[in-house]
Formats: sequence, structure tokens, C-alpha cells
Amino acid sequence: MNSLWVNNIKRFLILILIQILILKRINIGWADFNYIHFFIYPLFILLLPLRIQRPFLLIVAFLTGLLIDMFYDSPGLHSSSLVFLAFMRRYILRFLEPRDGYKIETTPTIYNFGFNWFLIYSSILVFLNIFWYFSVEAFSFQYFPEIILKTIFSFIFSEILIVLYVIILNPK
Amino acid sequence: MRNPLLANNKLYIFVLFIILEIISFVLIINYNNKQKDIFLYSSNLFTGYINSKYSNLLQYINLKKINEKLKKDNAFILQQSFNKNATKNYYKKLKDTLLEKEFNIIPATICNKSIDKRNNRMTLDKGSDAGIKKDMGVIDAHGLIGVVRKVNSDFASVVPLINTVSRVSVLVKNKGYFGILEWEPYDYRKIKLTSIPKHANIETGDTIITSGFSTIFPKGIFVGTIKEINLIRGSNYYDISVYLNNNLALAENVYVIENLKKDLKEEVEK
Repeated sequence: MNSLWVNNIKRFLILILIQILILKRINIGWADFNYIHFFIYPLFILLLPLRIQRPFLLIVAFLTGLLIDMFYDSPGLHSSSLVFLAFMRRYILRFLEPRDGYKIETTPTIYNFGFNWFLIYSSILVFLNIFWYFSVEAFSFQYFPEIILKTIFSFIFSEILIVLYVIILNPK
Repeated sequence: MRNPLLANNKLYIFVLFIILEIISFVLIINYNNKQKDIFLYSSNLFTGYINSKYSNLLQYINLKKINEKLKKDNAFILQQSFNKNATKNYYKKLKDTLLEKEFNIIPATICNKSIDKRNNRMTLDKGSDAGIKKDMGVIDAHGLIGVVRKVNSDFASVVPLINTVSRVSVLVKNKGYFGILEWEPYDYRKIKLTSIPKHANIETGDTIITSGFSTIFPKGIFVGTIKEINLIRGSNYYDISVYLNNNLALAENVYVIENLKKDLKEEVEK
């Protein structure tokens, strides 16, 4: 129980630091092609234990997003998308529920559910998160093609980063 | 089989989600200029589009009416400015509105004109029905046009400045010498100023205004500036070229000046 808290706080710090110190500064793109943005911090919400209370989950997501926003100088933007991710997490979990249900004490990781399951789980949520993020950033569906392009490219690269992180550190 | 820990009160969660999103959006709109602009822009996009289309339509329908009204307003302002000069000295104490009004302005539009002939003509789209009579002066916003020579009920024919029979009495502003504007073909921007005596101290660039000696034009309308001064040997008068301030080729909206005291003045001058 205690180690669960410690692990999550450690992961929170690592992910936030990776995001704001490294990924924020990476700017892949040239001229008109500026579609690739990296998001690794959603992984923190993805890997929170299943038994966490949903209101608490939403508030944690909101505060995490605000923290990211502080560094990105975009109040509300990341928090909005991360709250959306946290809200959707339960429905995706239910959608991907194994035949014999979840064990109460588990965490949604590769270790517990296998690579394929995690890939689907994280892909859906990260995609939703990024799509929401760019939609809110553009704030108008007038820019729909741009939103879609940004979402797809950013999703691919972010998902690769997230999977790499999970494979390398293999959290339990 | 449902995990009891995953099954919270749905509505409660949803409300919390909405609240957090609203907070986020308030933050976004308040602090991020881009979203703020887009929000305002988007909310105005639809209504603005409809409004502008509608007002365009109305404007187009009312274009003629608006134009007419503007011309009337202009005429009224011109009338006031001319009458101010006239009444300043004589009727300051006497606030008699009947006496105050010396000039009446009738707005009109040129509907036919020539500028490349020796004896050019212009036609106005208003005639005696609008109050236009023979020998009234015609001006536009930038200077003189000419004098009405012929009128019927709906149209008026104008002899413009650029007609060899046209004669207009003018002053060199601030120097007091008066002369007569005559035209020599065919440059519609240039006009001759005659009857300025040799001893007159004039320079190029001097301003020419109407003299107000005739009953046609009020005093002080800006006509143009002196461009060239020549002395003709054996003559007592300068040969002066004046550049007109207005472009007669482009003139369209004009004002006909009615002098309400014309008869009185002519009576004593007989």
C-alpha cells in the first residue's frame, strides 16, 4: 500500500520532469509541417491503480494538468484534456474488461494484463486525450483537418514514447 | 461481473467532470488570448455573417435614398457656410431668419457631359421642378463647375468653365485683385485668368477664389491656384494660367446655387 503511493509519486515526478524538461523543448517539424507534439504525462493517469476513487482520479488529473499548464503557459488546456482522459478511463476499462473481471488491487500495466491489452488501453485513451487537447487548442472545428493531422502524428509519437517507457521500466 | 470500486455514482462523477472541464475552459478563455479571440470570433462569425449580409442587402436597396440624403445634407452645410459669410456683418444683431438666407443649394447629378470640345456642355438631372433656373451657379465639393444656361422641367444645361463663352469673376485671395476666368481649349484642368493689371503683385501658387461680384456664385469658393504668369508685350494685363482645384472630367455630384437676393441686387445695378 505504502509502496504503491511512493511508486506513483515517483512516476508522477519522473513523467512530469520528462515532459517539461525534455519533450516540451523538442520541436520536430519544418516550415508548414508542425504536427508532432509529444505527450508522456498521460501515462501517469493511465497507470494509477484501478481501485482509486473516480472523483479523486478526476481531481488528480485536473491538478496534474494544471501543473503541466503552468510550464506550458497555457492555463486550462492540459488540465482539460487530462480530466477528459481520467473521465473516459473507466469506460475504456469496462470496455476492455477481461472475462473474469479485474482484481481489486491491480494496476493496468503490461505486467498484469499483457502487452496487447495495454497497447489497446493506452492507445484509445491517449488518442482521446490528444484529440481533445488539439480540439480545445484550436477551439473551433473550423480547423478540423489541422486538428486531425496534429492528433494523428502526435498520437503516434506519444504512444511510442509511452510504450517504450512501460517496456523499459515495466511498472507492476 | 462488475467491480464495485469502478461503479461509483455515475451522475456525481459526470457532474464533477463537467465542473472540472468548465474550470479548465474558464482558465483557457481567460488566460489564453488565442482561444479568447477564437471564442469571440466564432461566436460572432455566424451572427456577424448574417448581419453583414442583411445590412448589405438593405444598403444596396437604400443606396439611392442614402445618396440623395447625403447630397441634401451636403447642400445644407454648404448653404450654411455661404450664408454665414453673408450675414456675419449685416445681420448679426438682427436674428431674422428670412433675411439670413441668401443662398439656397439644390443638389443635382451630372448626367451628360463633354470635356474635349471647344464649347463643352454638361447636363444636370434636375430642372425647374427642383427649383433650378437660368443663370444659377453650379459647383461641386472641390470647386466651380459652371453656370446654368437652359432649363426645362426635368433637366438643366450647364455651360461649364471649360467652354470658350464662359466668364467667371474671381479674386486673387488676400491680394484683392479681381479678374475674369476664361478658357482656352483644350486642357480641361487649366484655365486663363485675364484682366489682372501689370502692376499687380501676384505670384505663382496664389489662390483664386470667386469674387462674389456677380449674383451667380457666392464669395470665397476655392477655384484653383496660379500656375504660370506671363507678361504679354504691349499689353497692360498679365497672361495667367490657373490650375483648377476640381477635376471636371470626374465631377458627378454637384450643387446648384440659388441666389435669393439676385433680383434685389440686379435692381439697383440697372
